[in-house]
Amino acid sequence: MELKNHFMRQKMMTKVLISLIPLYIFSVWLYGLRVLTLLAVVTLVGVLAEFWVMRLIQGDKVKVTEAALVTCALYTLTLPPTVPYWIAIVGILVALILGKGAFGGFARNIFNPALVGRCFIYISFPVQMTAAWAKTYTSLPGGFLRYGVDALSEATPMILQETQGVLTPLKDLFLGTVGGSIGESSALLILIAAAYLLYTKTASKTIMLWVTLSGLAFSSAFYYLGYSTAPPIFSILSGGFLFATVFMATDPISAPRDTLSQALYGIIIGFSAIFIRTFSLFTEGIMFAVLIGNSFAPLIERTVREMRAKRAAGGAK
Amino acid sequence: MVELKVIAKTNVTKENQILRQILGICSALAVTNLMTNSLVMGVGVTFVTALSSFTISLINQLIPQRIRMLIQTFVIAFYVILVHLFLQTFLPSISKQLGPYVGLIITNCIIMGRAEAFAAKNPPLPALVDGFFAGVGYLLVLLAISFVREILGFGTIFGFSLGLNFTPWTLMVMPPAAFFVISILIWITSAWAIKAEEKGRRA
Amino acid sequence: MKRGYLYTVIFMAIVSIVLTAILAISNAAMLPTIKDNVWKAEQLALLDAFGVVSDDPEAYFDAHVKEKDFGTVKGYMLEDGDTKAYALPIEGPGLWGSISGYLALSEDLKTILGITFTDQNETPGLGGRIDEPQFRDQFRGLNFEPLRYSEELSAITGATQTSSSVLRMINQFYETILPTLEVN
Repeated sequence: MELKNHFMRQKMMTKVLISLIPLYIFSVWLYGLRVLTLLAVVTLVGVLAEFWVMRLIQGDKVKVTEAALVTCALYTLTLPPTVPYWIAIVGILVALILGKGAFGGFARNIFNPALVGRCFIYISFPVQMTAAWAKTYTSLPGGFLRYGVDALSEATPMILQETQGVLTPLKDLFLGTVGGSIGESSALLILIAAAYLLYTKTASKTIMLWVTLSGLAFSSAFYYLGYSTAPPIFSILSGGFLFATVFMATDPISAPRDTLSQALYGIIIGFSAIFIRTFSLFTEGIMFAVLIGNSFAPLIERTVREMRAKRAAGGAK
Repeated sequence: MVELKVIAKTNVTKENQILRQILGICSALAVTNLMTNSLVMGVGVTFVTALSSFTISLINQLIPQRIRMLIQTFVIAFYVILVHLFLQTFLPSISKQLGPYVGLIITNCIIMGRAEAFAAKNPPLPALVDGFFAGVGYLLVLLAISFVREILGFGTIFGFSLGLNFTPWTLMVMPPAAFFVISILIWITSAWAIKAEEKGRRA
Repeated sequence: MKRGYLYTVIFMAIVSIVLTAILAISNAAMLPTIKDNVWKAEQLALLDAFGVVSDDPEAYFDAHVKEKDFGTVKGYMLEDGDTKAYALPIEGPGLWGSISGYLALSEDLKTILGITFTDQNETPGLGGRIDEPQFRDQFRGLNFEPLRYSEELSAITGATQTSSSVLRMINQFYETILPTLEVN
């Protein structure tokens, strides 16, 4: 049994992995080398989990897809830097076994697996997932020579805004020298990754565009109508909004395929994210928003297809 | 008498109401965060299913066909109210915890299902056994689900602390967790069933 | 077998009469115990709010606790030697349904002696934990004034909404009902 017979390379997925490298380097600088050990543990457990569950389905011809590696890498970036290893392990098991394997494996899952796992541990362990945030290193050598972070409980920009009304300067949000989940900090690096993904035609520009537009539109609406105190640009740059827009919403498996459906899907995600942030108890809503979008994707796609078929039939008469 | 044994066994295993027929899911989601609640609920359902099946089978010959289901519901409601009164009288704290779910035993599809599918076509004794073991099958699954949920959600079994120093899983306390636990149980049992079937075919 | 309408009606009537009669009898037989259970639970909750620990709660309750009309609301009064205390009903919306209970206050109405909940449907293990002594005991001995969560008074982790509902109930009571109370 040769190892390479059990691995399926996927070119698109390689590109996603490449696009994540800068984010990882930056987050090591912010939070220390623990980020990398966390990634290693998550990937090891994730690959074993995928191997086990796919063996149930495919038998001896089992193949672990490169998509599983992407799931592991993205999932790790959504975690708080101080997350205990065992919680990270529970999440990745849920992601790949219940979020993906149970649906039949690669290309059959309805929901983005990384977010399923993230959501499961977020609801199960609210204290560990939200209470303690890490202070970031902001000078050289930063976290490159250290294992973890020294100081805790610096609130994230979104928590500061919601509880104390303090707005973090946009420059910090843009560059990313702020606390939060491992990969969500730097808007600039996420945008660079987005540019790379768009240039290599790996991710859908329609989805990215419409999620952002919808997010901007609804956060402006809520802001100017007085429901929310977060200015629109702040809303887009803070929290995981950009990260999820670029890497999660565009997941080709759980998103619709034609342009019109993608636009509708993007609008739903942008709206849900801002709506949850503004009106619910949760500080961040983008994770739920993408999952909500995922659950609507098949319906949107079918409705659009049926409408088109009807119009085509009408035109033929 | 062999036949009764078969009825009893298939109701708990091969035709388990929750795992194989996917009936009675609503209450299995709602009350399974604590084992004590599950036990009381399971016993209540077992009691109602057994006696309503027995009663319906007993008077089946007399029931006019056009009001058959009406009478069945009536009989089931009768036993459910008895259970409800009994719990309020003798187990007030559990009755409070189960809240509306005792009254809702009446809507449990298992009971009506057994009445229609079995009791209405069979003599009283087999109907009693069938109803009783359908309830036992339900009870066992509830206990299995709540075993997982109570350990992970509270670190206890039947309210007794296991002395574990660990982080409780908040999700396990909430009803959605039962979806995960039930579906994993169904996954495992279906896999067994398929294997057993293949073996049977080969033999 | 085909039967007539008359048979159907008579059959239905007989079944109804028999089953309803049995239920009515059981209900009549059990109702006193049920009411007693509810009352006992209420007594225990009240004593708990007052912070009274007793070997024979029922006897203690009968001896020292009386119903009292405070003008705008009806509550209870505890008299044990020189100590006097009041328990007043509080109520408000929770996350899933309304929460009700009693707030026990010292004689001068300036100190909270304790709080207890007689009815709540919050998420077990989350909001439901307002029933636990760890949460409720925090209120004992606090000055009765508008409260907010702080280091001394902590909300239940993961149940922010229920925790704030409880404070809202207490603060609303402080603002609207407390000034109207007639103690004497």
